[in-house]
Amino acid sequence: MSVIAYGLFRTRLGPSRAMLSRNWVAMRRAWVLVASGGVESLLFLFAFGFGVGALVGDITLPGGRTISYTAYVAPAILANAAMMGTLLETSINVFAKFKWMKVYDGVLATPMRPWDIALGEVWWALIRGGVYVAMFVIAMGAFGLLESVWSVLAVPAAVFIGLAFSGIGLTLATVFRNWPDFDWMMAIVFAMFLFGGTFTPVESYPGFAQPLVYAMPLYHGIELVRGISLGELGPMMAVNVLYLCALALAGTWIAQRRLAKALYK
Amino acid sequence: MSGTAATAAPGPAAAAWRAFQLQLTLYRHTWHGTVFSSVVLPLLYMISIGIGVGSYIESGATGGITYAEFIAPGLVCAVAVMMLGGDMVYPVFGGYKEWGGAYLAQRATPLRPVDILNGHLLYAVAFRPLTACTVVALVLAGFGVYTSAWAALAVPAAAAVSAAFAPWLFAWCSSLKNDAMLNAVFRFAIMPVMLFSGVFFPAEQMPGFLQPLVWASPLWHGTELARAATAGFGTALPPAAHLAYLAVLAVGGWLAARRVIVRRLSF
Amino acid sequence: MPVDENEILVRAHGLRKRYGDFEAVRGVDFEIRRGEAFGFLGANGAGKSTTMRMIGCVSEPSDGALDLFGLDPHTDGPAIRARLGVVPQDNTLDNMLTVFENLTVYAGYFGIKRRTAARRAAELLEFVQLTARSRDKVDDLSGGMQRRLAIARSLINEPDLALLDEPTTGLDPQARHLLWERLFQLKQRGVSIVLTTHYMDEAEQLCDRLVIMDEGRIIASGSPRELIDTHVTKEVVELRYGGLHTTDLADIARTLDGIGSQVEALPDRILVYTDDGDDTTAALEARDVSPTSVLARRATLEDVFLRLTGRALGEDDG
Repeated sequence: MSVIAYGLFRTRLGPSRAMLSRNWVAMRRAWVLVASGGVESLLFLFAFGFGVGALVGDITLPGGRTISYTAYVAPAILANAAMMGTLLETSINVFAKFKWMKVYDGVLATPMRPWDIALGEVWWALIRGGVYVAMFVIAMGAFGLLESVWSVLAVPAAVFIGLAFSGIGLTLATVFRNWPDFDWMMAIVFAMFLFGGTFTPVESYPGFAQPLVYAMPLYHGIELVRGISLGELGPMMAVNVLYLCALALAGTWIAQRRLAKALYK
Repeated sequence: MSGTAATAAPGPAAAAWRAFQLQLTLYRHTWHGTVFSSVVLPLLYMISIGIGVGSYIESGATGGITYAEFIAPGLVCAVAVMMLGGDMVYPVFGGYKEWGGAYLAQRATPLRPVDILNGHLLYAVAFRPLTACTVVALVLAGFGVYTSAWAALAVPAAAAVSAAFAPWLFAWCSSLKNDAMLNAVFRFAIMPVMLFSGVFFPAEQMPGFLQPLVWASPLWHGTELARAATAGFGTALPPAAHLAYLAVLAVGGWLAARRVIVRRLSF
Repeated sequence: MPVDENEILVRAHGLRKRYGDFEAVRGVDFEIRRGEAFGFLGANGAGKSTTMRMIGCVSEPSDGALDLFGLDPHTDGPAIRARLGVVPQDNTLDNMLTVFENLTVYAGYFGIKRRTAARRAAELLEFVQLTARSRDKVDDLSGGMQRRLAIARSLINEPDLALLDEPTTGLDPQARHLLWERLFQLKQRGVSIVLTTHYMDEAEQLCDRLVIMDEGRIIASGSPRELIDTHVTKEVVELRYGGLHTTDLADIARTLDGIGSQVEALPDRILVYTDDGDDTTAALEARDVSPTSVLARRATLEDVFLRLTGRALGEDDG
């Protein structure tokens, strides 16, 4: 990396580190509570991957390959963990800092810009999501679900999911007015979890439902993580990655615009 | 309710009824927000897991009935547990707070702490399951998952699960100091109970060392009873034993909850 | 660093701020010099806080020119804010952090190195007398302590200019005096201060120069002494009539023609502006107006405000 590019990198991203470090200082006393959120995904893995998986036995993929149902579901729940970790952090927690605690009002009186705030929150959400994902991968390994090196590559793939849902969550935090709005968000999240291709191949859904599923960000995350961990790479993965990146950029950009509009009044 | 002067100290039943009225009034404002978690979500589970995943499951794995038929009775009972997540966690914790705490406000009236407890329980373990679980049970009928009219017994089973579980949640959330701990209630109580009580897969599949936890779960006992009524299965224990366990849990929980609310509301 | 007394830090010309149809600031001009304490005095809703937000570069002016340290807020907001210390009206302290962390984390927003931040934080807590509370959460502090913490926080970047929006509003008298003491010391250290207030005594004590704002405009400016000399007489005699109504007071006021330089009837008392209070008091006794109490005192900024706006400062603009 050239010196100029490095300098640019520092001036663009440097201030957002201050926001990240604020979150770390604020949350370090409660880190056990934050990290224990990863447990939820493990519960889903045990219940649906192992419990229901034992009833299903093996599943035949649309391509004709047969794998255990547990191995089929686990990557999807990993994608779900990446989503939950980043979405909850950027939506609910950012909302509280923005609307209730007025943290950002104080921050904007300094050289920090809305863009720095938004980016700092994204980094922090990625760390929280990363903790969830790491816990999950370790559990997968402990239960013998990591069949190849490919499974470990699912972790960087989860970063794209985390980025996308950070962007979405940040935007929602600036749009929402009160708590019931978050109940609706959770409703949609649950619908995505149940129908985003987590439990059964989308190809088995009725035709009218399939376009809806293709629009779901979680679906693209699941496809990506599952494809990699099963070692089945395909050109569609580029579409998955692009879709997630587009959501990440658009969400973060809209969010910082809206923060600026609300706080620079 | 009798027409005695409002100034007279109410009897326990009348007092609980009055405390219940408050919860009912709040419900009138928020019922539409609860429709998703209490009615829509269980249906989504039925479609995605019961029918979607069920199409990959052979009926031999679930005792000769389809997978959808297998999970339907437990799902009705699980709705009761999901609803407790809405009714017995944040509202209980917030009840003691200066900002609009419902219990503090009620405490300023002739109601005693135990009346406040009874009123809230009346709402959470009778009113809510008897309405929402009935709706869910009726809608599930549309999926053709019942073979006999005895399936209706899933609703009282759900209420029994609620009665056994709610007071413990009440006691726990009443003793919390920090709202961040409320997430732990979901993570370590409500979700595990939901997922590992034999609703979605037979509890015998759980590893042996976890079996005692399954037996402790009120939802497992309720699901056994409901499934026996719906699908004509035998229960794991004699039905009376399941009921007795739920009753013991309910009474023990109520005593614990009473202790906590009396302590919190005595100043 | 040699202090150039005449260096102008802030220059505003024709500054305006509109919110939809409502114009909060309607074209104000002012200059703030290095080393001085500059005040915006006015009732609630006069446009003081909006002006402060524009100076703080967190509010874009709708019209007019604003220049801080020779920089343009529109393009150089972060560079300008790096040299400001801001105490907003509602503190905006971070209540998830301890007292000490509020300072060090805030220092991070300025890109100040951790070690420097910790040293300055300790010094500043000493300065605002909060060292003993440094490990406490913000919510456990009293209102006065929170405000002192906010002032300490605003100094963490060693600002060229401190902006304090109603620094003592809502504090009890003891807390106010402690705060004034600290602000006075700040002035002595050579920190330039801009503050808004609706307290006369605060403005008189702390400000070298001030402007009086009303309905989004500046209606007078100068040092406290100049303002009094220009707009009111040296002294004021107050007549109070327990129990009488406004209309009665107006009637009485009319009978006082020729006494002092001007007579004004307020809802609760009559003011007689004069250059010689004793003289006027004697003259009043000669007329048979029998007030329940008579008080001759020096004229204050309150009188200036009253003369200029016809309202007492405590009254809102509505």
